[in-house]
Amino acid sequence: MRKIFVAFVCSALWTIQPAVSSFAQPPESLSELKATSIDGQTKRFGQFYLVPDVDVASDGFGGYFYSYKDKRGNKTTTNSIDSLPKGLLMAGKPVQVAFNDAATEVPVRVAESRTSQHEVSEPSAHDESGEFEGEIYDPIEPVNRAFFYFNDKLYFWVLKPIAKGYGKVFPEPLRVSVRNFFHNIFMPVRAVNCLLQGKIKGFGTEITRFVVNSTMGVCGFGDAAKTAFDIDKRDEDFGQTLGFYGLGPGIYINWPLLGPSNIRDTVGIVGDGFLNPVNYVEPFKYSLAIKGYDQVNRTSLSLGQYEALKKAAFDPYISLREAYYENRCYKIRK
Amino acid sequence: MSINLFRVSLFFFLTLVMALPSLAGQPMEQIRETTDKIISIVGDQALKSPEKAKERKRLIRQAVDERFDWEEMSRRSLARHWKRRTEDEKKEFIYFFGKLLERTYLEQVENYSGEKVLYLNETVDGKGFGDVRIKIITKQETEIPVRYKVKKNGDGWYVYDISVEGRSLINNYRKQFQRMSYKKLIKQLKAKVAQE
Repeated sequence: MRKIFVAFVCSALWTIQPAVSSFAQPPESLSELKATSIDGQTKRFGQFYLVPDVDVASDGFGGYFYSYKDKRGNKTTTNSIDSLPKGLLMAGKPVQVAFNDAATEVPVRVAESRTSQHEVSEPSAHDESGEFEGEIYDPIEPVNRAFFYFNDKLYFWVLKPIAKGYGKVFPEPLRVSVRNFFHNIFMPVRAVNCLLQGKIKGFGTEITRFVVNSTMGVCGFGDAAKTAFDIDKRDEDFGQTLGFYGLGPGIYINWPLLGPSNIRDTVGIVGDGFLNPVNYVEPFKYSLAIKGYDQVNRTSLSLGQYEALKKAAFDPYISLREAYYENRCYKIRK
Repeated sequence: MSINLFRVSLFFFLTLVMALPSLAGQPMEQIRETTDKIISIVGDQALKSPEKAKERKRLIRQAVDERFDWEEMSRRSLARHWKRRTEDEKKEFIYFFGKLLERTYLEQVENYSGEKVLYLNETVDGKGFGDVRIKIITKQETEIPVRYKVKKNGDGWYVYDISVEGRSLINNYRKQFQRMSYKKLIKQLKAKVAQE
């Protein structure tokens, strides 16, 4: 187990290493920024990085306004990226600039990217909150798609029928209580990760919730902390902790059984495993059975969600991948 | 005289101050209005019978239509495909895409059973874009944060994106469309809408 953990950490560090080093050093000149196109149809977007001092706001027509303080301290706003002082282009808020050339590995020059930006990204997302979408790195897509297919069948053929039958036998309030019970015993995962991120208040919240729910909530089956004292639950895990400290997701992995993940969050799952009390249940088969039961119980409460995603999607694999990525970003920001 | 002038100016100042929050309160108010309208339709006992199902659907659809900007949603989802479309193609896409989103929304709403909606806050920029944040509390006591992105058109604010726990509907479609040819995606879209 420990060996696997070390191997995961090493591979994760290896994967994110280039990303970290490129963040640490601003590009020497703009021509160093590259954009690649995978084939004639699919283009990867080049990204510019701006220092946090530059505020980026959409102009509502797909372009952006960049405002910054100049040397005299006056607030200056411009709508073209190449009139920004060069020192402002480095690590920081990424700005997506569409690149529209079929050739591979073409250096993006600012002037070019500006014109292509107008051509392509006209309807790009309007966003003041800095929620710029990134590109998901998915080099093992064929493997991921195979596992996606596997998980899909597993859900419809095994998990869903079991969860449905289970849900017919046990009424919903009972299943909610069981979910609360599991949530309660996973407290160490959330509490420790709050602490690791310096969220002292969150740590206190989790401890308080655990004490209140284990006593007043009868072994955690009820959420007395919420109903009686209005203490909201926190959602932290080790993957979020790593993300909190700036670790990128690495490559996207769609694990069999576990579903969507990435290098960072996989390391997170392994790390959190040490804090999960269920993993210390002996023998191993009991621990596995408990986890399986938790999964069935949770599935019985969320039947129909995956079906809805699939029904609305044109490419369910991409839809799930994007949804996972955006949700993780959201949780890390929180 | 000067006191009178003071009073008059105070009066104007007060009306101005009081008018401001109501102006700023527009997007959230409008979302609330639409949501309340839909909730009342869904909860209407008179519309619950099977023979009224069609009428009920129509009413919900109408309420949704009033608040959603299908064109803006289509434009943002299609992204690079949009520019290369003719006016007719655009119209066709907006129609079918709107139908698909409407149906997805409808299916979610139809399962509504006493969930609570909390209206958290709104932000509006000077350029006619805004943000409304709400929280849905399901009967399983799960809290779902939802964010509406709205665009101003005349007096109304119209939704052009919905994010649920950070997952943006439009971003999700854009990523899916990015790698498809337009021909393929419009064909798939029509098939999906016809499925019903």
